[in-house]
Amino acid sequence: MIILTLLCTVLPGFGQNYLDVVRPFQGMSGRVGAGTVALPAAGTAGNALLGNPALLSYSEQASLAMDLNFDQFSSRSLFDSNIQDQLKDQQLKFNSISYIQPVRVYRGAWVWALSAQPVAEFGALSQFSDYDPDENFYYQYREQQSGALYAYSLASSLLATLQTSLGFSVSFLTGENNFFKTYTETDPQDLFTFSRYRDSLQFTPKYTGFSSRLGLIRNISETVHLGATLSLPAYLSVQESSSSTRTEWFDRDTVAQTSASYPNLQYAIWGPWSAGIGIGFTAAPLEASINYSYQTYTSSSFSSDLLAIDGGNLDDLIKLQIRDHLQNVHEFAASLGWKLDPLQLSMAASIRNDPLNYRLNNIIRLDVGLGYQFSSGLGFTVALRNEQGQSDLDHNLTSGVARTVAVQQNLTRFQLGMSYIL
Amino acid sequence: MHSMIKKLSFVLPALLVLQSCYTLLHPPETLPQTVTTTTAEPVLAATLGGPGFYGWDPYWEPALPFTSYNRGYGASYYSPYNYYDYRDPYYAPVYVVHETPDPRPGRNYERDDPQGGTRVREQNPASTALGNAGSGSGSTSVGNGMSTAVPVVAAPPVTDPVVIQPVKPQHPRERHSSAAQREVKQVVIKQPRPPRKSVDSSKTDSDAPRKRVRTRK
Repeated sequence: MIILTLLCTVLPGFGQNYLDVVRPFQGMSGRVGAGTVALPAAGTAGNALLGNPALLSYSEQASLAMDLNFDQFSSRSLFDSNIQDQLKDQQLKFNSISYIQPVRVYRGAWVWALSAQPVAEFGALSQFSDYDPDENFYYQYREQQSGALYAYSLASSLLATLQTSLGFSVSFLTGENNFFKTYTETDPQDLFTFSRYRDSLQFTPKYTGFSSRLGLIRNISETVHLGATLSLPAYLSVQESSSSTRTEWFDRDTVAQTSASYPNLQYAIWGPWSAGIGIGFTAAPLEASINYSYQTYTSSSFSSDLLAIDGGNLDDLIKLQIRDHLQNVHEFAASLGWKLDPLQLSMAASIRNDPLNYRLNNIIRLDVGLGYQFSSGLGFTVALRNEQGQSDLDHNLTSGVARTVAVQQNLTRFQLGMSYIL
Repeated sequence: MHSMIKKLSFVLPALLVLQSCYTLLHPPETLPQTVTTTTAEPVLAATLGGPGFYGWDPYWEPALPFTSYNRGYGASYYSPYNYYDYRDPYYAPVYVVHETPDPRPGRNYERDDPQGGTRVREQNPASTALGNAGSGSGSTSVGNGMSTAVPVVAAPPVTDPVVIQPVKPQHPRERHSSAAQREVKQVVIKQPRPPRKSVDSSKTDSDAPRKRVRTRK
């Protein structure tokens, strides 16, 4: 059934399609996790800029925070899993920096904040290799993605009444996604006239745009508070270069190559609306929260002066594809914290479904964090995050049989942060 | 600091006023310059100050909503945007360049393109029979595409030298039953040994004459 669905849905989409619209937004909701009411475990206060900006109003002192990540990606193909196909990649990189500045007011609180941090990360690795059972040649798929979409955000939060905080943040988004996919065939038994064949795809969309969100916190009592967020659709202007190259090496020293490239395609995309609600409980030193967020792609769109393969209007075609292939995303998250100065412990978990309606995939994220604040103003945070999802390397065999290959993606992130209360 | 800002806020507008007075007294008498026109879209009020050119225009300045026709000329250079009355001697027809580029085709491939599935592979003449035999024996069990069954692989009779010799990957059959494969190898190694043992106990064609020779001596 899944294979049939894939054949029906993915096959007509060759060329520019709805996946170009959804790609930069796919990871956006997952990054904020349990941030609607409480701060996510593995984050600094600056994460409130992308979660619920109203949380900033509780910051009483100016602070500067930054953190580094050590990421490890690993992937495993679920169709024919074996040790050979397990891939790993490790990266050490700068993650985020944020600055929070409360403004002196006579009543309530007014806080400004600046931050730079990734809002979507594209890192992924996939590989699948096997003999084709029909023709006895060996083939291998390998897919690698890297890059991130960074948000440079400005936020302000106000304690509007004693029980109500309001906040907003605007972000300038910029980043790129590097995608490589290669298909290689070899003929180890020399049954064919070719000795090697390689089909490689390369895409580099560069994104520039903006997004904004509003947040609200309402204290029902001393122990219970409610939170709500509304993220307006993000706008991204995309400049994309891509190429496709097919090379075949024959047994008799000849090489044939065909290639196509589009060095500068420009289009614009509008992302999904998203809204979140949450409830938090405080019984010092414990804090707990439950959150739900909702993302809808119904108003997402693609805008360009490009023509579809059949000569039709590409914008209209993609609009229909968005309607047919994308679904709303529901994310449930929960967090638990223990805070007794100078130590802070926290953990959070979230689960959300894939926006592609033909892929039965849930993205699960777990965070565990520990923070320690010295009396000098210097503080350290250590956090561990694990995020699991799924991608696929589905393909057709020579006989025409569709083979479904699911690749389990696993990201383990060790995060080391430092903050200084000014 | 505040006094400096105050001074600047006085000096800068004063310079503008002086420049304007000079321009009123000595308006530039440059002849109408050439304006590149491509498509016919007449100037409208909404285009005032808007881009009429591609790229950077060194002569650009905000078009004013009055002209010398009503004695309000304030530009320091000639601009056809200031003469939209055709009766004016400096009038020049201006057409805004249509900025929407012509539609062009988007790319015709995507990240999920099926790679290799429909590729035509030409079989080696020398190995055609073998290839057919191999695929015929094993492909029937893979009808649903979800099986890992692999055809029987016979020893490749390499007739032509391979130009680029790929690293031979591990075959699925070997991969799944690597332990069994090792046993087979052991059997292969052990098989020659029994004849060696039989050198002492039993008679073979090769050793029999030697024994005979020794016994005779």
